[in-house]
Amino acid sequence: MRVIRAGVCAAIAWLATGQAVADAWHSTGDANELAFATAYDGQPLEGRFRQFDVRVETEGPAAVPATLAVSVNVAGADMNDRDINETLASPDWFDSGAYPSASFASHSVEQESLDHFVATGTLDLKGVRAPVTVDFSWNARDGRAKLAGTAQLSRSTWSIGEGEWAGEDHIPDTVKLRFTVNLTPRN
Amino acid sequence: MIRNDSQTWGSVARALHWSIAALIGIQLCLGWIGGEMARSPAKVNLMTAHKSLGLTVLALVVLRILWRWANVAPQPPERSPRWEILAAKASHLVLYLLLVAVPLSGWVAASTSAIPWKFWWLAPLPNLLEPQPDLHEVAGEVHEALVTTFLVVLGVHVVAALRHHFLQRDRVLMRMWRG
Repeated sequence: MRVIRAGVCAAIAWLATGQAVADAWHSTGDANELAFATAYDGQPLEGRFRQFDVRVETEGPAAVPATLAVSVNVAGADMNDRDINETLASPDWFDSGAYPSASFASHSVEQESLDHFVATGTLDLKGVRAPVTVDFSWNARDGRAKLAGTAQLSRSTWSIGEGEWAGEDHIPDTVKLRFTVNLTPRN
Repeated sequence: MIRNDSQTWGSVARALHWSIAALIGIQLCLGWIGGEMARSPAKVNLMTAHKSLGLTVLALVVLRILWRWANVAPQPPERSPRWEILAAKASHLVLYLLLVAVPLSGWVAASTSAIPWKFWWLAPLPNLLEPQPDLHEVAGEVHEALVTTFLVVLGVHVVAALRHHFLQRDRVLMRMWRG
């Protein structure tokens, strides 16, 4: 009897953890994009981060996102111009020598509709930790998932663009992020 | 007298010559100061002035070349040796070519950079090319080399004008100054 009870408990525990222990999905391939949009004197400018990793934990057989984690090599910020890229790496901007990477980790992920989610979490960038909300769509099928979404950041919160670049005289405070990521499960 | 004749330059040719000369002086200063400045909004503004002025000079140069074609040019002073006439023709031709090539190479350099700018802060001009970091570097070096070449030929031009005025005591400088 004791053996049976232990067996049932073990089975329940196995099932419970099987449900709760999420699948972890990782960004894969080289078609991923993390782009940022800003402007100079009203003229739009785009850039991208050449190197970043995304990790999504999902729950259940339907693979519903439960956590979102992103790490970005900020030294890979690229606006297709050497002058601008070197400026971005400087202390007034990302200071990528002192803070080579940035990371986002969600505290909660809310499902808004079938494939639309909102993650709230903390962005650790240039030594500052502050909250960020990320809107994203998630489509997982046949062991492949696609994540696409947007977020808006206030660059002053993280001191991105200090000194003569501070304020909104030339460059707006709001930076729009846009991303498209392919993921595969990896536990 | 608006048009040139066989003896002297008309007012249009003189106005174009000296306004272009003055603007190039300002342009050289803007380019040199901009090259020394640390990256900042002030530098972006200064370089916007440099790009705008460069294309303004290019427009004046085009007018000047058209006006030159539509007019006679004053004759060289009598009894000028043949080498002097050839040297003058060659150096004027090189100066005209550089007056076009220097702003064009600058326009290519500005086009291949991702830094946005508007002509005199009014409206963006069409880019000759898409932003390309490698090409931008080459265009910048070509621009500087053309400016250096221009300054050498300009030096010859100025020395020759002063030689005409002070040593040969002819009207070559004065006919461009007063007509």
